[in-house]
Amino acid sequence: MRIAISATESSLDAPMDERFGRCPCFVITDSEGAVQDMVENIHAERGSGAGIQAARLLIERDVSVVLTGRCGPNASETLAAAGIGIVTGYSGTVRQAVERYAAGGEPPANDNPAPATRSFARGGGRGMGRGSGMGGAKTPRN
Amino acid sequence: MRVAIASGKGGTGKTTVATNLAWVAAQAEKSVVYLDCDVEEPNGQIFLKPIADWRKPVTVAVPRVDPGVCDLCGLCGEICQFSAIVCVGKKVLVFPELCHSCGGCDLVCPLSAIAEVPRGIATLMAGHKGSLRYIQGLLNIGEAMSPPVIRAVKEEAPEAELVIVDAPPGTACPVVEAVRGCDHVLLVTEPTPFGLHDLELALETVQSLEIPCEVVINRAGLNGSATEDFCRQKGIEIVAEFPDSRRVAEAYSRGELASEKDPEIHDLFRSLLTHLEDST
Repeated sequence: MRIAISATESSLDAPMDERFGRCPCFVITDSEGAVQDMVENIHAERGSGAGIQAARLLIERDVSVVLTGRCGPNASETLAAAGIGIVTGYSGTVRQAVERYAAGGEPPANDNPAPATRSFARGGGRGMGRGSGMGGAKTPRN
Repeated sequence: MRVAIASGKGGTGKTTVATNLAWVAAQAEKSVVYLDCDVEEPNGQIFLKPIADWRKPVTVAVPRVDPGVCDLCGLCGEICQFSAIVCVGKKVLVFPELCHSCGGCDLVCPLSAIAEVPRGIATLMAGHKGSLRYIQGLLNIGEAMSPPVIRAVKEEAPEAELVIVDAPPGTACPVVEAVRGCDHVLLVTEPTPFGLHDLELALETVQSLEIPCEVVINRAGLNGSATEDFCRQKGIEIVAEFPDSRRVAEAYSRGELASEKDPEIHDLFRSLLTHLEDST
């Protein structure tokens, strides 16, 4: 079984990135926690649909389960359509996430306000809020 | 003449300037149309209190895939720049709220398995206050795609001596859509560091559209001369300054037009109107 973990760097000991769609990379391990693959998330900076495209990256890599902190509804739907399980509510390092998942699949109890949800649950908020005022948007979204 | 009232920063007084200018012009027996293009929060009606004449929905076209015809080739997902349609496993997923209605997926589908179907995203409302025509768009809750709604509001505008476009805040697509096609833009700013920062961004946006623009300072006298210095340096004229006045704030908080309550404010708007007429 191939497990993908949203990560801040390509390493087992790197801190997880709790965001699914906009994490810089995914570490893919087997169920024993051995690293099988590192995937750069080339869609992390996308204006819209980052989660959907990140999900497609993992579908291409034949992943069975995703461990992450939070996952938006569109990404959840995409992963679910491909039969990939999603467990949210994880934080800490990539290694800790895999170990906890292997030990029973439950995410750690922590101060993460997002409720832990298993498999195909829809979580998170929607993207594309009201862009007003401050800061120069480099690429205005149409 | 079509004048857009815009600003980078929100809350600088766009709607205050737009509604009062519209009302003062209507009182001067001009034919005036007020277009509330801030379709996420159209609040011109709070001050103008129009009597509604009609309402109608705004729809956009989104794809619908016929699974009996689709062979999952995935071309639709490759052409879509917004991930609104993706081919995953044994099905094609459509995310209507991400769709920009370009029709690209329909065009590239070799089997014509995609039909475009309408999806309601907003409601237009038209009304009047005396001779003043009022038209607004209001996005449905949860919708994010304001440019098509702004376009729909502008398409409803009848011919008039003065069309006032109350634009949304910011500098992104909704603002561009609102000010596009206008003869003139008034950038409303407040003399604060935030106001000045966003004025710079808004000015850049409007200038890249090559529309003549001028600055209106609201709540003048707050923060030294930084805004004046900036405008002088950029060669942009400050065509009106509204004082930081408690009476204006009180009228605003009651949903009243300051120009109706305060003769001095009325005169300031009258001068602004004359200036606009002279400059075209």
